[in-house]
Amino acid sequence: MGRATSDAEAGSDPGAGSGADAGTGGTAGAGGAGVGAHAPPPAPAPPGDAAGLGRPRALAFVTPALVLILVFLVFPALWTIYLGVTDYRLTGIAAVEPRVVGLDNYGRAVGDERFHTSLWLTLQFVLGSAVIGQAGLGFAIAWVTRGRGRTLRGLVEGLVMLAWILPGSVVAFLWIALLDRDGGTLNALLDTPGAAWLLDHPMLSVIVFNVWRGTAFSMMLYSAALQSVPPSHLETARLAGASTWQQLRDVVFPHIRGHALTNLLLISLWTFNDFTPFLLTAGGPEGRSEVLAVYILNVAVRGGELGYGAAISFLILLINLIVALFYLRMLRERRTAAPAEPVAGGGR
Amino acid sequence: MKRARLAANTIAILAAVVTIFPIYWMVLSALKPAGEITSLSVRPWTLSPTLEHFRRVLTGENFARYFLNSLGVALTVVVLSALVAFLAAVAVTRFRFRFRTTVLIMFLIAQMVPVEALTIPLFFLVRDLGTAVPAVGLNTLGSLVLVHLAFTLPFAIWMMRGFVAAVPDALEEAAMLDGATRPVILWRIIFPLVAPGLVATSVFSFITAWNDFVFARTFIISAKDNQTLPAALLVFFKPDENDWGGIMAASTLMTIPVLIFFLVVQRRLVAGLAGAVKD
Repeated sequence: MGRATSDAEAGSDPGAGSGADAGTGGTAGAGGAGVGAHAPPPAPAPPGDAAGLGRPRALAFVTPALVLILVFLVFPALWTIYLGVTDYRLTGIAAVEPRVVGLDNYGRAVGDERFHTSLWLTLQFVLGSAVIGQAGLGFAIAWVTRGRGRTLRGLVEGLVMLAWILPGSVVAFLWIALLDRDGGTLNALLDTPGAAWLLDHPMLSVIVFNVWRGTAFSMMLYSAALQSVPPSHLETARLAGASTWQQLRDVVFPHIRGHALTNLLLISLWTFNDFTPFLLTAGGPEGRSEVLAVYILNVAVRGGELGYGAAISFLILLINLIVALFYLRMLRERRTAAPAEPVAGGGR
Repeated sequence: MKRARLAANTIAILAAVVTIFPIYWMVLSALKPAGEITSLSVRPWTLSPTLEHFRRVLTGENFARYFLNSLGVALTVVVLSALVAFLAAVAVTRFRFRFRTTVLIMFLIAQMVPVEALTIPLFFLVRDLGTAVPAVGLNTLGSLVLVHLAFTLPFAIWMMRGFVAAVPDALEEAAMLDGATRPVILWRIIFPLVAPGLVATSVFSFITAWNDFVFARTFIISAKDNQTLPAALLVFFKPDENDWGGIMAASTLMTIPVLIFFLVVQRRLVAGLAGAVKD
């Protein structure tokens, strides 16, 4: 990861500090400014200081953010790792005097049938709703609406985004009302009274729900990305008799690969950690829609097993890291494979 | 070609309709008289719209109070998050310091931490913090502001980074030569240029803070007056019979601020997102 990230930085840095020190004569701590700009990128580069901030000022700028993140994100995360090796519980003796039990919690997770099911369901959830559903559908909508009239695009964009910005609790209510067994709207529309969608097809309901909810983000990103594909390239391909699929594969995808990967990374992580399904099915019936995020909530808060819940949380974090590494690697491969390729940068 | 165009438009409109349907249903149910909602013959319209549910929601259960609480928390988070993220983004893009890569990676990893995993330690942390600084302890809105702020920052900084990097150095140089001071450069030159990015990040901050359910439920235990909307919605859920009219009216009201905020910035949001992931 370290390498991938520093590569990414190197990409955005060459320009930084290019002679901006022209007027920074008296800046304290700006020693060596400008040198970094002309030296080759490999880290650790000598300090560059484009804006003439000065080291103390730069530190002062980054400190508030750092302190907040350290106190409210990093510290609790470390605490979670500690809790993961204890038998801490919400109530009872273990609540007062938690014992360190080493890796017992992890051992238990490995042998826990419920955890395996949950892992498998999470995989279905991420692949089904994020990778296939949101990204696929999002791209499809972005592709068919590209170059359409402003009104139509604005309308579709606005409506689809609406689903994305609504409060989670509100959309959960909406979907419960929609899928309800008695008097649910869907049953009335399909004329299937008494069909208990959330009970009979819990995972499908949750996946469709998440596709409905999150497609907007992918669609927006892909719309922006598609604007970066030069129309002349598509035109040429079309004149050469390329089918739509060939156009997509040979012209469009190479152009938007960076966007596509970033999008997949973000929506995978979001979906992985999303526990809105809890509001819909609470993981039931019988754990048939208990994705990992819901599993943690059920184990830690409802079951009171804070230690075990924390251990599972840490496992989730590790899985997230692996997913992120995988994507970063693919991003880097793009850079090394095709350095001359124009960077997919949307924008208007 | 014509057929393809027709098909494309149809797909687009179909997607829009499918998306809007539950939301339409929400507003419709909020306006239907109580008897009509539960009747089995579902009609996609109502002949006698009523504001009865809205009236009940607005007058009872302290709704207005919760609404203002939520709004206050969300707006404070938006302003602080934009400010802090902007400064941090300037520092990490315009200055190379020793642990810069470490800091950047930390921001990235911080986004992957599952929220539910942190709820428990955060509860204890906020409780202990409250004994030192009562304004941010349990049952206070301050605690919500702080925690949301911390959770929105990593994403905001990552987004802002791209925008700050896109501001050409030549611009700053020119300003320097014209005798502009550093604060002037920061606030009058860089700040306006990255405004689209700030707009996009504010939407995220606002939505995160406004929609939050978990932290509100965890931190605000006994102080009923300091509850926020998502938690307050629960009062309409009854074990036997849910008050759907009330739920839908309250949901509609809760949606309005997000909608306004979103409509104001929609145009800029797309451009902002495109810029943020631009590499």
